[in-house]
Amino acid sequence: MITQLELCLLLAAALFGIGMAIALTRRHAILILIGIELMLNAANINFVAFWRFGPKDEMLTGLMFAIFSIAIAAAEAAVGLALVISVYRHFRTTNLDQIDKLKG
Amino acid sequence: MTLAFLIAFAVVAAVIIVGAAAALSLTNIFHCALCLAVSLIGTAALYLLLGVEFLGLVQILVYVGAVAILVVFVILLTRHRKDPAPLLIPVSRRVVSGAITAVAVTGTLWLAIFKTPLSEFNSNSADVKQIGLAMAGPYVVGVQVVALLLTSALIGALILAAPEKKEDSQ
Repeated sequence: MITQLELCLLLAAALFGIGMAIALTRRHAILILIGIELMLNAANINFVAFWRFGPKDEMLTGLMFAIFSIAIAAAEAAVGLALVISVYRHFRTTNLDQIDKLKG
Repeated sequence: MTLAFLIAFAVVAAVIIVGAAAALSLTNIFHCALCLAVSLIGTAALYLLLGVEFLGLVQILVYVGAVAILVVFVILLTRHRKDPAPLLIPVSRRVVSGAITAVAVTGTLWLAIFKTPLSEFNSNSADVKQIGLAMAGPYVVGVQVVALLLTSALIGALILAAPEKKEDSQ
């Protein structure tokens, strides 16, 4: 019999895999950020699931970790998208295959 | 675990996975961003289903309300060509190798989950009052550090995205 905790973990693992596939296969800078956001979401689901179905915890550890993780993901998205705008202004493209100036 | 929970979980999981898979396979990046929003709403619904209402609302406010909208804005700012493209991305060597890697990682994780004996307690829950007390009590330093981080991220994003001044204007 599969438990609720295992269901959540399986879902999070599948979401992580899809996010990783996006980050690996797509060549658009914004899409890679989207993939990273999905992977962070999968990690958050794991934090919440382990806390929710774990032993009694008065400190709300997993929940607070997920909240901090969301805040940091928001900061990361803001800086990442600003970088995309900056790169687009220099190279007139967001395709990462064409941004190869540092390539030897 | 009741049947109602199973059905609700299946619906929520389908929304999350289908949204993410659509973001993976659609060509139009604008559609990808909207599918990301669908997947994030599904995650918020999962938090509500698990009884963590505050986190579900935070997820909707921060991810759907801010991050997804920001992604859409940046796409509109950087989009330049509009040639007709197929609905799904074409299968190339990179797509195949990326998919194989992702499937291998997911399979390994699933195997690890199935092999690990997990004991389930079903004990924790938190209302907004408890969360507020925890934020103002044991986690107050973390909250302030996150506030500092968000401020510096805001300033950094503004500096990065601000238009550059012409060097030879004087």
